Amino acid sequence: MEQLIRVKYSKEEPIRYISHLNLVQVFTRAIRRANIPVVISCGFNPRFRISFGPPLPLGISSSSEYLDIRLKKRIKTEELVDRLNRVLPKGLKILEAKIIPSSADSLVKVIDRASYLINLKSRGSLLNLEDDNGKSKLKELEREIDKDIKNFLRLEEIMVEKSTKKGVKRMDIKPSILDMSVKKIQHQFLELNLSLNMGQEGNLNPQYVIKAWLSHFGNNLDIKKICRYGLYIKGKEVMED
Amino acid sequence: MDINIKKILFEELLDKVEKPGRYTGKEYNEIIKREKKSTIKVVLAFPDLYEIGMSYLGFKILYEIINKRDDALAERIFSPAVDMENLLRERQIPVFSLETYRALNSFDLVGFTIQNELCFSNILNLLDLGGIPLRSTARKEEDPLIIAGGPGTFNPEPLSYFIDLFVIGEGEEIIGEIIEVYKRWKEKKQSRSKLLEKLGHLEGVYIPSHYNVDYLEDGKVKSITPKKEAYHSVIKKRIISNFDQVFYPLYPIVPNIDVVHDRITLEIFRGCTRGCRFCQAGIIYRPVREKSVGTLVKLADEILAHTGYEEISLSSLSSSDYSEIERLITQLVDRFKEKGVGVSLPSLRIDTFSVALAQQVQRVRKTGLTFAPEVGTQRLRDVINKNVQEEDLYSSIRAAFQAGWRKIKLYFMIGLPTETDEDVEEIIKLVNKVDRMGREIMGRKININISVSAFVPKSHTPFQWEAQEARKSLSKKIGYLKDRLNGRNISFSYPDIDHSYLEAVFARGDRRLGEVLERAHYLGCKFDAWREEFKFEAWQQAFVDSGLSMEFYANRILEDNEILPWEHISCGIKKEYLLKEKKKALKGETTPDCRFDSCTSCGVC
Repeated sequence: MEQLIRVKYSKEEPIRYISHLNLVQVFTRAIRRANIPVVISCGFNPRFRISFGPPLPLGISSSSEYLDIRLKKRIKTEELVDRLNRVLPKGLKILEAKIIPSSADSLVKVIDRASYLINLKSRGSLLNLEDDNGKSKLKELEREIDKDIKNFLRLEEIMVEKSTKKGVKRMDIKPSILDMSVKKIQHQFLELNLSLNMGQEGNLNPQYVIKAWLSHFGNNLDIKKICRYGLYIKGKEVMED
Repeated sequence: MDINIKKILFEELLDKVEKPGRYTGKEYNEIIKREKKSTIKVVLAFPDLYEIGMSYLGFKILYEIINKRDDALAERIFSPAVDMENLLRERQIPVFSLETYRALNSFDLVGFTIQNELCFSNILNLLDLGGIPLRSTARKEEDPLIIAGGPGTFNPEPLSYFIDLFVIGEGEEIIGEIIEVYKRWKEKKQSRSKLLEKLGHLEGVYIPSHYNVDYLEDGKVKSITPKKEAYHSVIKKRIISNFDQVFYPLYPIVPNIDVVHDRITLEIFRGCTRGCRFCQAGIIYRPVREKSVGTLVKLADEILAHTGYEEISLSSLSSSDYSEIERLITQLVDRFKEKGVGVSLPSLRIDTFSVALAQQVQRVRKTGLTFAPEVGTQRLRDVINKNVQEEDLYSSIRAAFQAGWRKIKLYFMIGLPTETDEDVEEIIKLVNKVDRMGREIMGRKININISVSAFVPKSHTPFQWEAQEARKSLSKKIGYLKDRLNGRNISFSYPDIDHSYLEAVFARGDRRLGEVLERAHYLGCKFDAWREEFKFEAWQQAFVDSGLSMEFYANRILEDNEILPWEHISCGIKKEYLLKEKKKALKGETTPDCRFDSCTSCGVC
């Protein structure tokens, strides 16, 4: 009896530095090492019947990625998790797995939202913390940034330039942005929360949003790290669906 | 050095480079050893990008052999691409190993793999990036010992100033011997020259500083003499006698990013006795030694379990020459079909038997079959001793079309000794004939992929005395072929003649080229095999500055009796045999393979 298993995994250092295509390769080989009984497609070039969620751009880490594996023999989900974790390279970890209906829609078809945490670092200090009023000033700054983000999101259009194989393309990224807000602020670091639409029209790389905001906000901030921490189907986290 | 390379790498550099996956390490099967103070730290250095170095079997063999020892560890370093190099130089960070992010100069031994002449400048660049003095003579006691091995060391002379010790021949056994000697020396805290004295006793070790080279007024070598009587007068290459049972890497690292050969490499045999007269590999890897089918199946089983690769590639210089090739293929294909693992067979000879083999392993999708007619006429094919008859060539290509291949790759070489315009013209006729044949059999146009290279005379071959054709006429021939082979279904790839020229200069170079290399390094030469980085004008400048002529090395016919720069390096093949082969070549006489015919007295057995 065939069985479809949905697996949640994280992609951290140093695997975040490989492309999605390479990731597929890395998983395929790990599955073969783990001797998982995957269905192999018939056809000219036999392939494992595994299918991934929306690709994660190179350099971005994630605590919530998904993969569907079609098995030709039933095995316990705990065993599958355990066997895979023993043979995955550093930076990849299976967090959980569950059986889903064999006819379930593919991940890329149903996932409609992604959430990111963006860590930014200031080239100087955001403000002087030795000041007695440090804390209240920090609050003030947070309000300021929040206001700025709101103004940014109120823009009629947010045009960015995207370099593709065919040359530079200009596009409006505003329709992709669902939400953006300050998560945390420290004397040199700023953490933002960003939610983007995912789906048929293609998935926007969060870097474009942040870069557009930075050029608007005009601060001396550099992107330090981006982490995807949630993928959602109709408002629910994928595994809860 | 107190800088935290790992921290800077991960926090600042990786986000700024293309393909950061080249520099992170931590791939599956990477080995990070617990070390003691006494552990001998070896770094295997590959003077090209990660994707190239990780494809090289010799590199994997040494990595595992050394790491299996209790007293030593091995890590890896590759040439950083130019974007990463610029960042390292800007930040003054030394080039580092992928395992523990340690600087190149903090190892005890640095072992370079040398594949060919076009990586020489990268060796100098790596030393420089690693904070190690370029010249052996400038190195201090605390600097690592710089070793080089691989097929590119059969004429080691151009690198003599920079390498402390060359390993000539196969490395599986000698690497352990070197570590043993090094360990004892380190315990005794003796001088660096004492270490070289001791290592010089090992068979297969060549220490260039132990030899004097003198030159005649016309620039040829006058003499090569050991500085002491105790030094080997001839350095004989190392040969593994029990090839079936010799160590084979069972846990190769599985790269996270694409590398050139991203599959299981199963070395089925070493050596080749076909005797193509331009081919260096066909000489230096002799004698022919096979692994048994039983050994190979067992190796494939284990390596597959440890790596999860989807393809097993049978590696050798001419796979269809393996004595039990059909049995081997049948066993491997049957065994791994279920797991979705395929078998591939590069380096096939031109015959219908090989096409049948290819058909057996091809996983339905007919990607393309490669044939190497090498030249356009049977006359020239006899000169180079490519023991293939014109009829065999056509019947095997016909068989390939009949078996359903719609894409054929054809390899040719131009500029070979005795080549005439007619030989070049006949290449065009041959391609057209194949094109017509394909259309007739397939009923539609087929794809022909033509790859042309230029002859480079290499040391230790029958053609080592022959000249490379002048650059101008080589370029003209290529231009002619390119114009004439312009069909829509034909793709034509060809070399930049300047690369082939530089390769020829160094292939037969002597010690004096060390000056040129050093000069070229300061002029920014690196990645000479890569079109986008190759700086031919800088090389020309380096030759002018050093007062040496490129033509002298590349375009001169050497005399039969002159002392060759590699005269003291022996690959086991007698010079008389090579000379006899050269003379036969010029008369158009062929020499059959000794596996199927009488002994050719090459001297290796």
